[in-house]
Amino acid sequence: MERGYAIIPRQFSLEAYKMVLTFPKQIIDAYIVTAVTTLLGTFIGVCISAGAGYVLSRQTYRYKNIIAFLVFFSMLFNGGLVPSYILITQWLGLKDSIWALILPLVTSGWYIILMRGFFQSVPGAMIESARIDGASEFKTFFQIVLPVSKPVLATISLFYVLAYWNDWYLSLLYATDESLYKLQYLLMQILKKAEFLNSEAGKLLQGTGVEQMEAPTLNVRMAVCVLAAGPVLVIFPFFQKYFVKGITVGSVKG
Amino acid sequence: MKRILTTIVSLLLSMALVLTMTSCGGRNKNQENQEITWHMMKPSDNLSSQNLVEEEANRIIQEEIGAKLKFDFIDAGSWAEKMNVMINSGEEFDIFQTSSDSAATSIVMNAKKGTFMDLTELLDKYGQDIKAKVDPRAWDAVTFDGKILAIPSQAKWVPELGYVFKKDLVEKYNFDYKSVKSLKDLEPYFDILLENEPDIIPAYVVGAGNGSGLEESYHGKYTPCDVPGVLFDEDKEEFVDFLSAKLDEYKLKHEWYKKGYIAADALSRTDSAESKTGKYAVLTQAGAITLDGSKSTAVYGYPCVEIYVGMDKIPPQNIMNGNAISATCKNPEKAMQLLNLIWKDDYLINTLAYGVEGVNYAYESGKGTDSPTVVPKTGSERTWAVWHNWMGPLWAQWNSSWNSTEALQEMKKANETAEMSKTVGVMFDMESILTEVAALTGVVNASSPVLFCGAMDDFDKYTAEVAEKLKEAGIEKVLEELNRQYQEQK
Repeated sequence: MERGYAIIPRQFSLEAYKMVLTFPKQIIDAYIVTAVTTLLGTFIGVCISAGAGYVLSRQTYRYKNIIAFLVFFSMLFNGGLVPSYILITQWLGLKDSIWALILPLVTSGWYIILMRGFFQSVPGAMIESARIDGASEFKTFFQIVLPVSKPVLATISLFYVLAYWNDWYLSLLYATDESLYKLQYLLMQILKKAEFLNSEAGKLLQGTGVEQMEAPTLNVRMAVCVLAAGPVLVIFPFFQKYFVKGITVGSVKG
Repeated sequence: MKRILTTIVSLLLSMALVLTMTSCGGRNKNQENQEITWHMMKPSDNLSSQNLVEEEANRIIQEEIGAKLKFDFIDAGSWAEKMNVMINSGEEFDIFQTSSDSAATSIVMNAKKGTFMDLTELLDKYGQDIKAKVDPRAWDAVTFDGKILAIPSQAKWVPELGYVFKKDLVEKYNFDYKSVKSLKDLEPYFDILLENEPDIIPAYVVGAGNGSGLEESYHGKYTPCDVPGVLFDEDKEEFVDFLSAKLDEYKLKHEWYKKGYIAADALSRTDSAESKTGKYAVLTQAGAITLDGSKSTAVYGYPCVEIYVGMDKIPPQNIMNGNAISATCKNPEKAMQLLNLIWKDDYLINTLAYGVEGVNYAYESGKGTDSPTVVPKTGSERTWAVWHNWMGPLWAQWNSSWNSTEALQEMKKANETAEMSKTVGVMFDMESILTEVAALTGVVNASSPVLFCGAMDDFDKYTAEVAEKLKEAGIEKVLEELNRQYQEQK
């Protein structure tokens, strides 16, 4: 510290990674949970958002206005924290289930509206000619509309991936079982723990033997940060071209 | 196409199936077992022995009261948020930890909300052992409107202050550390160090927390209050702001800072391991004060000697740590019986504290007697920890490296002989000053590390600024309200 901070580190060390990975079970568990929720959540989420968006984009659907309004309404007003908590834990009984980490994020009005905007730009003539050729509604959707909608699917997928990957709040609320903790939550815990141990509360731990516990050092915190952020850094560049395209397409024509 | 369709339909169906299955499972479990959940802040990362410890404890608990105990640990960072939604959504849970450090579950913030079950009758019926072991003065602190809301912990209450000296340095310069009574007495020693020991920083005063390290003892004149930045003046019986109360101490710190007794970058030294670097000559006690220096030597990792500087009055928030039963608890009788059993059965509380023999601790001597000496596993081998100091009487703890029996007896004696602050038993209602308290928290958190380390350019200018900010945050209204409520209830 006497020499201040330097841009080029004075010494290279992997000590902090070694420390984080001494008990890798928790991190591996967290990686698995995060990966599973991200994949499953993204898949289910895209299916639902695309389905709903497509139906709302069709001129021939009678209730499209009222449903579109309901979807839009949910973007402005929602039940808030306590009602959703009651719904998940008491009505659906999902506490400590992996579904509690997936379902709350599975769709949002914003994704559906974005999808609808894109699907509206698919020429009506295309859908009509498919129909004349004898394609059913499902065939039209899966084989005509979806293939031309890759940009928006990629964009929405990326949104989902980011949302699921970065989510820690659902773990906080619904997971008491440690094997269900997500990576970001683990990271947040480590940061908060350091804060707690350094706080006034930490001074009350006299006589418990707990005061011998070490607060994680800055190095450890940074190491966990890198471990948690890693995969997204890799994924992002691959999606980026769709990302930009998808956003502009979705918004301008929507 | 058909294939895709079938896949999606089957996926949705299986999802529905899984959902219904989990929801059924959840409900059945709660109804069949007499399981008592205990929500507690997570004390340590690695609690892999939890099942073993619960099994061992439940062997006794099942036999005595026919129920099972299940701990639900929530890490300190998520505690407030998680407990808040659980309380507000009316979720069913049984015993939980209450402490004045976390507003979400503190008695003060919840007394009116009806979060806590009234324990008065339950204690009379099932809690004789608890009543026998709790310091009778402590009930005042946890009683609101005539209802007992929590069981106050019997742990160390008395805020003591001690100074710790690095042994090799006091010996080298032959400094008579035992005659030190206050911060000012340290100055001659610091001058010597500054001259002869360029690698040593004389005073351990850093910005961790809201400033930690050497401070002045006021010998019970001021008692901290739940509201940040507010102290209770025990002589004048009124609340005062921290800045004017401690102005002299801060001024001295600033002089120290200018002279170089305090590190120039003290504010950014916030790592808790900082005190273990051995770079400082004088520090404060590591947890408890041990006059032979054993505690600080063990914690800091280099030979130390300690002196006792002063003791404050017991503030209510130190007593208001303990456990309560939720108003949504379905089985309050069993929960109270469980609590009582923990207070009654020394083996049970020590099992909860130390874990299972062979896995978490080993006997050193006295196995099978009432007061054995044990060696708990430490470091990475430690796979169990719990806030046992808030669960039952700490004094029942077996002799170990955590605390010797003599040290515990001494703490108990200190609790019994120390005076309670006059604010104990006064239940403040913060509702009308919540905004001001939030604003004050911001000002105090920003300014107190700076004041504590004396790390400002111009002392008078800075303190005037802080005073102005305190005023803007509404300190006057807060003091007035607290003083009014104190006068009404005292």
